Amino acid sequence: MQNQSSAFRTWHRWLSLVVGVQMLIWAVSGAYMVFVKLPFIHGEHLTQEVDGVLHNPTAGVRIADVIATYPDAYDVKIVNRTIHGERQDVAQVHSGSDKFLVNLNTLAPIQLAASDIRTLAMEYYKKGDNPITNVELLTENPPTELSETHLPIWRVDFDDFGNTSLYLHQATGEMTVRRHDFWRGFDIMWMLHIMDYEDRVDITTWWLRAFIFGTFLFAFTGSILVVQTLRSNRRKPI
Amino acid sequence: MKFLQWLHRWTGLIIVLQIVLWTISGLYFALVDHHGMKGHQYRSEPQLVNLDLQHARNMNPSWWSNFDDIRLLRHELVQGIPKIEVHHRDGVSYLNGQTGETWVTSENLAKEIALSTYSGPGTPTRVTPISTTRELHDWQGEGYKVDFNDDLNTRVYVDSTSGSVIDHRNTPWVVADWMFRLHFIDYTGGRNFNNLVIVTAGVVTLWFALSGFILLVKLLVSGEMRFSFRNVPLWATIGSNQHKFSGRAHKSVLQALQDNEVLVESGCGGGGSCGLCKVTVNGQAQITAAEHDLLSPQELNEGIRLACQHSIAKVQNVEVPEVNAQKHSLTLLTSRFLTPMLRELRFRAEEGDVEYLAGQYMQFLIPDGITAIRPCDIPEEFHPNWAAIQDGNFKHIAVRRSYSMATKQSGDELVFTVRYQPQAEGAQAPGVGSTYLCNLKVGEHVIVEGPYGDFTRMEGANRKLFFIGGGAGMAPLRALVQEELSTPEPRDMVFYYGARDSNELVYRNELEALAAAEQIHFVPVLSDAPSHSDWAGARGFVHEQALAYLSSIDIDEYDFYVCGPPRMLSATLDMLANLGVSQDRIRFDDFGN
Repeated sequence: MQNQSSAFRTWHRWLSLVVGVQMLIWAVSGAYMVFVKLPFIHGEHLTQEVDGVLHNPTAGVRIADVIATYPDAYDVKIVNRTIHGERQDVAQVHSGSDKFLVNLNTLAPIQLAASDIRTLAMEYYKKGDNPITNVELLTENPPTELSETHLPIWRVDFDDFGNTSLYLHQATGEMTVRRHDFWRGFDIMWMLHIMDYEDRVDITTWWLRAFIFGTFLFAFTGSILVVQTLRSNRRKPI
Repeated sequence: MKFLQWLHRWTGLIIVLQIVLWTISGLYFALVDHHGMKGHQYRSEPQLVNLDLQHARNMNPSWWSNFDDIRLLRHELVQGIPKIEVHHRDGVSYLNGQTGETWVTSENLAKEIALSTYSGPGTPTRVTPISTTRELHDWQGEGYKVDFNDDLNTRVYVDSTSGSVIDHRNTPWVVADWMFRLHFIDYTGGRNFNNLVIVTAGVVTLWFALSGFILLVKLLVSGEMRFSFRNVPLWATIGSNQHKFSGRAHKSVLQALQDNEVLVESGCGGGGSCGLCKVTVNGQAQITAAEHDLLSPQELNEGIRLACQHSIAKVQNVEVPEVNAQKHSLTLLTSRFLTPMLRELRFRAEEGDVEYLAGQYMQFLIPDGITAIRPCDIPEEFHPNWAAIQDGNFKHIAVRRSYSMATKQSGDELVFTVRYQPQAEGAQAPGVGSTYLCNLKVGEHVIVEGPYGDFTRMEGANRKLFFIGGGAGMAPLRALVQEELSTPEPRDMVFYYGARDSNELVYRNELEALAAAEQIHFVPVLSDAPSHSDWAGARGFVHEQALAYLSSIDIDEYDFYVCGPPRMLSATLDMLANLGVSQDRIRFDDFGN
C-alpha cells in the first residue's frame, strides 16, 4: 500500500516538542495526585481531636452571661481545651468576623501565648514524640503553602519525616491548616497541572487553554498514525 | 527504539480515548473556572443575627443532662429560632432552644432556611422531603429539596436534623459533575481521584508519555527534527532514468521522493517500522537502529537503506527500485471453479498491457455493498462441499484484498485464483474479498492497485528453483514456473505442492503435463486423502515430504520459494531453517493474517 510519508508524522513530531512536553508534565503530575491518597495529602493522619469532655455540662447556662457581655455574638460554643497549662471549660465566641475564647468564670477574653500553642500543638500531633522546632505567630507575608486569608495564625513546625507544619488559629488555638512535604509536593504538581506558576489557583489562563487545544491536535495526529501503522503490514490479507 | 515505539503505540491505543476525555473535561474546567462548577452562583452567606439574651436565659441544663460525655455545647439561631447543638458520646444532637425538644424542621422552615442562603432571581416553587439524593454523594438522612424557578434550576438541599443548608445544586453543577466523572474516571459521583481505575489509567499514561518523550529526545539527538529553509538537491536513479530533485534540507529521502511523485512502497508512512521503503544509497550513509532491525546484513552491505531514515542533507544520491504500482480497471472475462472452494478469475485490463513480475500481487479495492453468500453457479460435483453454507446476502464495508497473479505477464490479461472463505465459527460474515470476487459476474469491473511484492525469481545461472506450496499458494508459484520456462535457458525446478484431497489439486493436469515433458519435477502431496482412495502419490504434510527429498540432494544448489496457508508456511520455514538454508536464499509470500 502506498502511504504518503508523514504529513501527520511531521505534525505529530513538531507538536510533541511543544505540547508533548506539557503532556508528560500532565501525566507525571496527574499520576502523583492519583497515586497518593488525598486524605494523606490533607494530613489527616497527622493530627487528632483534642477538645475534651466538658467538666461541667451545666456550664451551658453561662452562655447567657457570655451573650450579655458580648452582645454581638452570633454563635457561642462551650468546649474543654488545655489553656495556661490546664484543661478547662471555656466559651468560644463568634462575633462579626472574629472568634475568640472567653473565661467562663471571669467572662474575660483569653489570650493564648506561644506556650499555650506549643501545648495544644503537642496534643493535636499524632505522630509520636517528635520535637517542635519552631512556634511563631505569623501576621504578614504568609509562606506559599498558606493562604493570606488565614492570617494572623500560629505556625508550629515539627522535626519529623515530612517536615510537618501545623497552623493553629491565633485566638482559639483550633487546628486550622496541616502541611507536610507530600502536601507541598502535591501543590507543586497541582501548579504544573494547571499551569498557573504564580498563585496556583487560576485554571483559566490563555496558555492553559492553548495547550489543551494543542493536545486535541496532538491526539488526533497520533491516532491517525496508529491506525496507519496498524493497518499497514506487508502481509496479504485473504 | 523499536520497543519504545511498540510501547508508545500500544499504550497510546489503550489510553487515547481517556486522554481525549481528559482533554475535553480539562478544557471545560479551563473555560468555566471554579465558580461556574460549584453550583454556588446564587448562594450567599446568611445574614448574621446576634443571639438573643432572653433565649439564652430560658435554656435549661436539664435538656442535655441525659447525654454522656459532652464535648461541645453550641448555641445558634436558625431563622430566629434558638438551636442547641450537643456533641456527645453517641454523636451530635440538635435541640430546640425554646422547648428543649429535639429540633424539627418543617417544610416551611426548610423553605426559609433555603431562602436565607439564596441570592438569585427565583422564588421557591416546591419543597420535597428526601432521604437520599444522587446530587449529594456523601449525605443521607432526613431532609428537603427546595426548588427555585430561576434560569439555572437551582435547588437547595436542607438537612432536617440540624436545620442547616447542605448545599446548592443547579444545571451547571450537573454538567460540571459529569466533567469530574470523566476527569477522575469515577462514575459513582464521589469525585474520588484515587480509585483503582484511574490509578491504572495513570500507570498506562505514564508509560505512554514517557516513551513518547524518550522517542522525542532520540529524534532531537539524532538530528531528525532539524528544520531548514535551505534547499538541497537529491539525485535519484529510477529504473534507467536519472532525476534531479530539490527539497528542504530537513526532509527525509522518502518525503523528497514522494513530494516529487516518485512511488516508493511504504507501509508505516515514514516511521521506520515497516521496512518497505528500500533505496540504494550511492555513497556513505549511517545505519540506523531501525535499519539494523529491518534489513539483512547483506542488504546493508549493498548500500540498501530505508528512505525514511535519512535526510536529503546527508544522502543525496539514491537508486530507487521502480514501482509500477498504479490503479488498473479490470473487466471480468471468465470465472470458473477449479476446486470446490477455489475459483479462477480471468480479467482484461481496460487501459492495455500491465507489466509485472511473476510472484507479484495486486490489491483489489473491494467496494462496500451487499453481496450474496453463495455463488449461483456451483457445479453439481461440488454441491456436497457447499451443503453447509446457507443462501443469503450480507452487508460489508469497503476493503482492500491482495491476490497474486496466477500466470506470468501476458499482455492485458490478468488471472487470479480466489479461495472462497466460508463464514468462520464466531465470525459475522464470510470473507468479504473472496465472496465478493467469487460472485463477480462476467463483464463487471473491479479496480486493482499494483503490482506489489518481492516474491520474484532470484538471479543466478546455476541456482535451481525449489517451490514449496499449498492451497491457494499455487497462484504465484505457477506464475514463477511459467516465467522461468519462458526464459531462453530455464533452470531446473522442483515443485512440492500440498493439498488436502485430490479434488483440491489445482492446475494438476497442466503441471503433470510439464512434468511429463521433464520441464519440472512436480510432486503433489495429499494430507487428508481417504485411505481407500486410488491416490497413488505422496501422502502427508508437504514440508515433510519435501524434507525427505531434500535429504537426498545438495540443497546448496537451490533457491527456495514458499507460499501457502500460515501453518504450512511457518512449518516449512522452520524446516528450512533447521536444514541451515541461508535466509537470503529463501523467498516466501505470507498471505496469512
